[in-house]
Amino acid sequence: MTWRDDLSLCCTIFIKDTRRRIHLALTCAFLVRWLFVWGIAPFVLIGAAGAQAMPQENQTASPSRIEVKDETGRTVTIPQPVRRIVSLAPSVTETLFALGAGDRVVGDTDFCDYPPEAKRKTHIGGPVSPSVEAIAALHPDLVVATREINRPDSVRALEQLGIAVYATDPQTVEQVLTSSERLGELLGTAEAGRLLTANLRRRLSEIDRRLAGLLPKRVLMIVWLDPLMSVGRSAFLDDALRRAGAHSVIDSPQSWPTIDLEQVVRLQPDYLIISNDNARQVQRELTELQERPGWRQLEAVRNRRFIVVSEAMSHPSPRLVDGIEQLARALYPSAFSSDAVFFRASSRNCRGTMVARISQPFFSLPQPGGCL
Amino acid sequence: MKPLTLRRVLWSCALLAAVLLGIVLLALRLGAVPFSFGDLGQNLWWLVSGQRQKISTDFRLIMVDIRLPRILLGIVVGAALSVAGAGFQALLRNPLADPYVLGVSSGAALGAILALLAAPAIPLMTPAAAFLGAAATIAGVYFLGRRQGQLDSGTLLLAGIVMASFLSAMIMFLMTTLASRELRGISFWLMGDLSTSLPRGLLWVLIVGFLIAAGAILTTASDLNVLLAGEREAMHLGVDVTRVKLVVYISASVLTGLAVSVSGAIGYVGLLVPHVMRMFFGSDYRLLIPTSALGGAIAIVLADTLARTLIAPTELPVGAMTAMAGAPVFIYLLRRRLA
Repeated sequence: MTWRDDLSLCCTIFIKDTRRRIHLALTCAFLVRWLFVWGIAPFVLIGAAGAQAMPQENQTASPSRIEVKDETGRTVTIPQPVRRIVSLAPSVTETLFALGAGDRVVGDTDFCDYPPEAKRKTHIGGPVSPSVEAIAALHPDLVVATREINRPDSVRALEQLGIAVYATDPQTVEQVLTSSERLGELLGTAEAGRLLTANLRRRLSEIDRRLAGLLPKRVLMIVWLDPLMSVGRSAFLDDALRRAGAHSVIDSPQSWPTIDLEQVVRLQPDYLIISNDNARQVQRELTELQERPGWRQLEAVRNRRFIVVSEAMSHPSPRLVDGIEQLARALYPSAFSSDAVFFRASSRNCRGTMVARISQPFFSLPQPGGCL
Repeated sequence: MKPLTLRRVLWSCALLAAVLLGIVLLALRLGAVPFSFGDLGQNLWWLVSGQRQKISTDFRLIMVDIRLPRILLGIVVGAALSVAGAGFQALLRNPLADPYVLGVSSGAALGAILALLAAPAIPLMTPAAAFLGAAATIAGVYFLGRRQGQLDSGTLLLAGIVMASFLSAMIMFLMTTLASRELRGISFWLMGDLSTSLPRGLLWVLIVGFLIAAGAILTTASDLNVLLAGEREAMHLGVDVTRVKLVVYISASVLTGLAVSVSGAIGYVGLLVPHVMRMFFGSDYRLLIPTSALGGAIAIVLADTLARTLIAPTELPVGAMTAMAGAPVFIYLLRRRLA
């Protein structure tokens, strides 16, 4: 028998056999119908009834709306003014607080820990698997997501409930700033946004000025240890490294490429960079890692050239500039040594920062619940 | 064994339907946002009796627009997977057969990933591609599993397992090498996930598709009973073995494709539920198929409720729940049978 026969058989099977099966089907039909009528139909009808009832409600909810394109190209209709905001990522929460809209944030994720007030907000789950009903119950005017870690599915599910979702997608330091500015405009805090970014731009150009003429240092940014992950050229972190006078030895089209240790040994970066605030976790990782073969082959490991910067470095929020300053200071201490005022201003927001040439190697697993 | 009467079929189904109703009420009650049973009952009564203006906005939003569609999706997906599992088990006369084992779920997942890479913007492209992936895998397994023009149970099962691991390797390859940011979160979907909300039209397609395919398997139920004794015996007893196999094979594949395309790869349900139902209600397929459908619905709704509430508000993939609960139950059943 050829496949053609099979195919024709399968096509004719329902036709040819009909008569023989009809009485059986009839016996079963009422069973299925019974199951349908009592088991399923009420819920379908309820669902359908509810669906029809929903839209009427939304129209009266807010007096005016604006239509904008978000950073992923979706068109979003946002009610004005925005009074209740839900954030779907730590970096978004940080941005909202930096814009002075922190008191309007009614919900954020389990991982939002900066600023400390963010921890006291109602949590709606993790960034990857938030609870849609918990978000809906907060009646947000606007949900702010980021393409980096949120799933398109979550965004679609919220959209279907008639909730406005604005997605950010910054891929460079400059885009982090413009994204914050734009978010400020949407939230009615345009002035605060402009002030914030103007200040950040000033700090960035100050770093540029101090690093002018210096040769970039070759570094390996350790984003994740098992498996070893670093940054590719499309990630905002790659640009942040460049702004701090560091050149990532990894050149990959992926955002967060998985790297072979052998490749790192071949490239011999001058410094290893880790971004983590949890000193104890870093310590634990370190003891384990020192046992590992291969890492000893690294010049940077032998000379203990490790830099641990705050987690600010790994979040695409205005705080990123703090991280850039820290890293720049650690890489080029002499370029910054003359200016004490600058030092105080930049380290104000950093918690437990350890900088440059610390006596032991430190490694860590930053970004809890980050990329799945 | 007692002879199967219509009365017994009805009573068994009524019992399971009552359990399902209880589980559904529980699933409606539990979630990240708490509601009391009193509120639930009152609002449901208003909903059913047409006094819709009395229903609170919160209830409408959370119960009617979020929980109910999700529970309904769980019912259909669970029923489809279980009936498909029961069908495959009869077809291959192998208690290990199940859509997950046969590689169909992996094929659907690969289809979905390819769709995300090729055209992330087109809505409904992902479920459609998942369905195509499932269908293509089934066709592949079917042709690999044939020996001398006959469907051979052992070969088919092995072909499925090989196909599953090959496709999983392809998925891993794509996920680690390609730079697409759309793939983020796919691993969540690969575990099986009901949190995606579907357009209502698609839910209807799903329900109708399920009723047709499950009905087709049900019409072959008495033939399947005979087939359990062996193909040669069935043939001598006047069963058109090839046709029965084809009907069951295609219907079970359609059921799997439908389920996987909307909910990802949920394991263990198709394998386990028919076995549990056999334990309770005997192995007569005329009873086994309706009870499996109801049992599968119960299992998934229960698992999804746990997935939603266990570490609320964060949600677990439902596939993780079914595997966590399913594996020990399966071991228990296995040991019991051996003892």
